Amino acid sequence: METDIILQTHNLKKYFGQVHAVDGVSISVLRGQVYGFLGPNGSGKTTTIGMILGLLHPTAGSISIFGDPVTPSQNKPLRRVGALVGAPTLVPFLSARQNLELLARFNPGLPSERVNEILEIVGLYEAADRRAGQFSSGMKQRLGLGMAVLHKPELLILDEPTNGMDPAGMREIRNLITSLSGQGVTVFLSSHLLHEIEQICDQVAVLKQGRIIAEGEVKDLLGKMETVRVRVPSTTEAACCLRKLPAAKDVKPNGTYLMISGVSSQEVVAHLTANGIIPSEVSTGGPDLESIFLELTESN
Amino acid sequence: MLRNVINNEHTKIFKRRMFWVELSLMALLVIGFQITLYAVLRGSPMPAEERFNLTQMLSWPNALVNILSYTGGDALGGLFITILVGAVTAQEYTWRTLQLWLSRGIPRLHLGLGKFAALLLPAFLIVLTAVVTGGVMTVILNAQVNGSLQFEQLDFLHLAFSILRTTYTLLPYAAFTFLLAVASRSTVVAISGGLAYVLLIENILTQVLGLFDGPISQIHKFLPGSLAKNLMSLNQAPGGVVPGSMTPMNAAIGIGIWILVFLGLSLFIFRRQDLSE
Repeated sequence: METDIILQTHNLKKYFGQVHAVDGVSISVLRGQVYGFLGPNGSGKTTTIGMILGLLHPTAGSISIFGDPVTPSQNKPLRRVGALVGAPTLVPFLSARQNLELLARFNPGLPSERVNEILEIVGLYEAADRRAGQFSSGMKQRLGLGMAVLHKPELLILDEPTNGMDPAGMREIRNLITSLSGQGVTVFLSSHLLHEIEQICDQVAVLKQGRIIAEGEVKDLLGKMETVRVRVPSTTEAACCLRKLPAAKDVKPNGTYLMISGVSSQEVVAHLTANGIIPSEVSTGGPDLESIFLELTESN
Repeated sequence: MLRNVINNEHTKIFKRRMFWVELSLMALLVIGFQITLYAVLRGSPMPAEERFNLTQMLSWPNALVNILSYTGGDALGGLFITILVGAVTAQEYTWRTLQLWLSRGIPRLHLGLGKFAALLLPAFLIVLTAVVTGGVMTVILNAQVNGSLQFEQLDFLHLAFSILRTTYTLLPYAAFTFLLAVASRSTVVAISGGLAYVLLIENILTQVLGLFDGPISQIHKFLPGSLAKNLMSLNQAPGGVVPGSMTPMNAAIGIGIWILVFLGLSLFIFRRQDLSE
């Protein structure tokens, strides 16, 4: 049955002996979303993606894609999925074109000009007949991405898609993802480049030690971590006062200013004035995703 | 889906330099062997009976039967197919291309079966290369030795069946190497293990088992090499000598059982494998 939930995992676990690589991951990716999957090295991102792609047997839990269950022995829904996980997987003695043609055979309905079209999109048309094994890592990554989108997948799973690319290549890939998303393709993107995630993702999940420690829309996550900066006559007195606000976090004096997070600027001003402290300057600033990511992964 | 997997495997195998090197090597070995025989026949004086035997080895149909005998599973053919299977199977783990196919929704069973089924054609081509090269060589040498080409000595249907039988004897070795490649995921382990079996282990086993009395001493008859010899005895010209240890039909069944056991184990392991980075 087709649903608006394109990809769903429920209490997904993968244990390697005593190591709990993935420990109860439940996510839902909706149609058309660009879903960011974040986490430090070893947090279980690639293991989770491996299970989603039917490459690893889950210890427990379930996965469904387009509403149908996916396991290593039941992977038919993956025919509508494109993936690039880690370093691209290529047959090194075949040319870029031949690598694409091998994959095209599994999609008989694909028009014959699609291979050339993809070579153009990923900027490898000129190098199409060179052996893929001789490519630079950036070119391999482009080819890998081309292979992932060759059959016009409805769901695209990308793990570090800009690895080994120069800044121009990164921007091209970012534009490609944005353009695919605009065409209705759902994208599940794991990346260390948080600036990139912040720019293109609608929703993010942060993984640490195999567990999801935060999930939500990017703007909500950024909003929750908004910092209020107030200039007050006495930072010590104002800090004492603001720490009494239950939602206030990280009340930090900084010269003649106080930095407060977890509460809105209106709440701060109202609370201070109610206690007889009149701020002379109030401003708000949002942290970037990187600050949030670091705070979440270091504090949890 | 299975047909596409096989087509893809054929593309990959036929685009490999290694495959063409193997075929060229097989052809060169056949040419070298035939020329050596001819040189011995021409160059050195020998008893009439020995000369007759050598002449037979260069004349149709025995020349082709002789070529097939060292193209079988327990001989050169076994070595070449072992190297090819080890490389084409285990390297896909190193390149992670198995992950690529599986993440495209290709069922594991289809992928495993397709990869093995695709090896039948290269195995056939290895044997065919030897026979065709040997055929061309013997056209020349047969005429030199006998003064004329004796086409009437050739039974082409029998030859075709002999090629198929010989190809069939390669398959247990292909399946064994396939199993090693899947279980170890290592090209080195697969090729060295397969070659060790073809070159050493089977012979040692045959000799060691021969030291025992009773049924244990008979086990060696059921090893792939002995079964191959029994089956290939049918390659002799009609009416030729057939060893009596086992009927060729039973030998063919025995070979089939080995193939099924090795292939079944490979697929069982492959279906349970975790294929991560």
